[in-house]
Amino acid sequence: MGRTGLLDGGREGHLHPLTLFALTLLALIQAFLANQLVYALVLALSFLVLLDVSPASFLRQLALFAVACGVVQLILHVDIGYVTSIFLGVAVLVVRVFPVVNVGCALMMTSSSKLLASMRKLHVPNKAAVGAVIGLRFLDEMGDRVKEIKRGMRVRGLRPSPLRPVRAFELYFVPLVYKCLHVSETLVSSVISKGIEADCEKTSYRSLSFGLLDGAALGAGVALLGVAVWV
Amino acid sequence: MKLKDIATIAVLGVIGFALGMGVGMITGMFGALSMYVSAGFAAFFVGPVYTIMARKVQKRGTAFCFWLIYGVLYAIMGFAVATPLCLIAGIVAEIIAGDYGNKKRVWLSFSASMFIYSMHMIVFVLVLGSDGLATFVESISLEQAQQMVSMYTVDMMVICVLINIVTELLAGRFGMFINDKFFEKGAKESRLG
Amino acid sequence: MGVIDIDIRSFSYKGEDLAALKNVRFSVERGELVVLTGNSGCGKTTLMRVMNGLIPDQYEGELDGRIELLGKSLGEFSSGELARAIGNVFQNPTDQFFTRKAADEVALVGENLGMPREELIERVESAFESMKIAHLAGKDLIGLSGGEKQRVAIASTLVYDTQVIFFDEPSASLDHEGIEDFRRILADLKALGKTVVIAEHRLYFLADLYDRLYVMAGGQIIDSFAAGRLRAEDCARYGLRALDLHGLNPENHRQLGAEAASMKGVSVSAGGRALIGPLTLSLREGEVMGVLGANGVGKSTLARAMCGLAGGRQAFSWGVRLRQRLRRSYYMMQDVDYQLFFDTVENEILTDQKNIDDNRLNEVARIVKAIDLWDKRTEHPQNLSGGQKQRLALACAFLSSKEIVVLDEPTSGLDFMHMARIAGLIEELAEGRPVAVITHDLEFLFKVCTSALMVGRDGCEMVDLRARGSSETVLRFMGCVC
Repeated sequence: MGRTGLLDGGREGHLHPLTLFALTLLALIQAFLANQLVYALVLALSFLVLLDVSPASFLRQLALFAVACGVVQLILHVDIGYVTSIFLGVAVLVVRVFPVVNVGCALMMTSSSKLLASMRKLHVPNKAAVGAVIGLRFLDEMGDRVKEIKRGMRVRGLRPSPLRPVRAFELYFVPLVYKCLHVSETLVSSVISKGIEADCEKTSYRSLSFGLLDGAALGAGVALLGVAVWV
Repeated sequence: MKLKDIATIAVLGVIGFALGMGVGMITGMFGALSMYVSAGFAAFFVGPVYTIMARKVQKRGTAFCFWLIYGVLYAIMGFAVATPLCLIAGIVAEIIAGDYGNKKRVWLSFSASMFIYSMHMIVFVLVLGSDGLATFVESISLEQAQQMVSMYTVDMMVICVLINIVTELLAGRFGMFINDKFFEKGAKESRLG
Repeated sequence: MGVIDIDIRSFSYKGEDLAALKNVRFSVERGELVVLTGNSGCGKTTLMRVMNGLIPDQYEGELDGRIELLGKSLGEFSSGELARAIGNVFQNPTDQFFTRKAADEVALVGENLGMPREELIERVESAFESMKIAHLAGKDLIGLSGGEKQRVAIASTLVYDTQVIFFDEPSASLDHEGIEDFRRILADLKALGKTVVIAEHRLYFLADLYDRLYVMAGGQIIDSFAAGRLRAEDCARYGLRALDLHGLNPENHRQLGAEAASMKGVSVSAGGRALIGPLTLSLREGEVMGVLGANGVGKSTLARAMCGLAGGRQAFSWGVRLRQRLRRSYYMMQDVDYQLFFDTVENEILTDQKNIDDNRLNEVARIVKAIDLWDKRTEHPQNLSGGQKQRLALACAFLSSKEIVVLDEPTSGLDFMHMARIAGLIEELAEGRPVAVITHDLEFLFKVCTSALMVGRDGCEMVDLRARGSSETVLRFMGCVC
């Protein structure tokens, strides 16, 4: 047994990124196949996966799930005509895909290094893997950037109006795209100067072996998929 | 293609997809109307992203990579059936765009590829039928699929095609407008003299 | 033969007619600390990109010349191999990080170059220890202070024991304490025998460290100084930042008008943690109040509360409720990228108003000239350099008719000339209304501020900078005087 790195054994989830990726796909398929019992089990499994990665996110998702269920119940008891079914459909869909969102959150919170190393193991071309990790990072940060832009608009006294949709679009879109392009340029310069394009066998700082928990989670996921298909 | 270009495509591809999905979900709430305008309306949000990316990178393969990201993200979201259409859209966009130096070709490459993509529901209905739809598209039940197929009459499909041709062309033009106004270097007139 | 040998006849970026570098020739010897300085746009950053190989690989252009590193032409290094010889610390520490955790970021270079895991673990640990940041290894980078991020960035250059380290404007995101800390790191790196090249405006923390200092202008090296040879007169001649902060004294002794704004018992907190307050003070017409304090002490949170972006109901004279304060105040954000929305520099100031009268147009033209952006008035604001964007955002503040203006670090990364120009504009901006400026820049503070609010962890103290002995108080607070 070799030395362990400064981050091994730390709290960032015990599951391998590839396990999380597989679970995301399994959760997706199950979400639209499963009966109530299987759905509940998949949901519980997804919450456990999230709890393993981040207790704070687990609590946030739990609260959101409660709200989504509350909305479904509310719509069931309030009839607002033709649109009721549309809203109900959307709300039910949100509840239905919750396990996918949970596992997806866990995957997004996985360290870029781990994701990159996993993709390298799958022989994804280096540039594509780096591009994918950068894309994921920006997806993760997009909400925060939009919030800052809104703040910028408020201090400038600019109000987007639905009556001037092109202007409203420009106000949000232009700073967002510019910011993302600037940050991506710096980031790429930085990773290139750290030898990301070096033509050699890459190594990984983190321990990336599959553990017992990976086996258990994947086993549970596949078993539930089997039950869902069989039922 | 350099890593910088790949990163630009990845970042803008992700923004484009997020905008397209967000808008698509909102228009999806407008029931039957969304069948006509859903993709066309979202194109006005995706068009600027595509145009900026194409003009910024200006390398062979840019458009294809953009649609590849779309296809992969759709697959991850359980809509893998749309992926082949995204790839076809990418190939067509790539052929039309040429070397990305001509702005009109970039505009047309977006409009054409977005049109192909926007036809996904019609293609699925025609090719898969209700049983196939319910099988391959995880978010649609058999009942919904049958209802959907019954709604796609010949008249409706013709209207849909015509509306989408117009909206995709306009969306491509809008993309070029945003690109020229904010992202392209060029002589602009001063109001200050 | 030096560690770095530069002989550049010219370099121009793709699509640009003007050469960004012309006739640049110099050598850097092993273990030297070399400073490149000069006004914004003088070519410092371009020269750094040429030296670290990003030009012409990532930034395309026409390079005529030869750059040798450790006796080998840069072009002869295989892809990624440069990372073994060169470490880079870019200007914005937040944007340059690829990973979420500090240890992952430091390990990245080793992973990329295939360092065996056992060795990588050892090297990462020792890099953290060298930078005295072992406690940060497992932390999320996003929550670290500017100084801590900088240390992580430097630690990553130690994994391969790289001979050369480049820093691009390292002090731009640091507070005074962070800069002092950074000065000590540079001394340590020198002691380790590293060759260090720094592009920087602020010179005071480098005064007793540099072995050679090059002054650049218009893409050329116009003068060079051996260790300790740069004098205050040279700085004045070339428009450089001060060499020594101790000689600085408040310069704005203007008469202030009547009380224009006040706050009573205001307190701010972030994430449930009380930061500042209760704070009671008043501001007068013409007053420019500098807000000083270490990073993370709550200055920006106070600024946001003053401008109605946070803080809820508070006893500000210009509005108890958030909406009132938002309407009656102007806030220039630290990252101005988020508040530039229009298609040209002039439209950013004119916004999308129609039928603007000639007086207004003339006033805007005057301001655009004053901020040195007349030639760029039809360019897109987001394509400007960092300093130019700051000046533009300030011009927007200037032309707003708000009762109070709050500026969050308006001079970070600005050269002396533009800092002085901004100081002049702020003085004008303050005629008839108070201005509050959050800053770490003491040269700027003494140039324009009439008072200083010193925000410490144990409380706040207000100093009238027009009073005798105030500069000592400020310098002591900033840790410049023991």
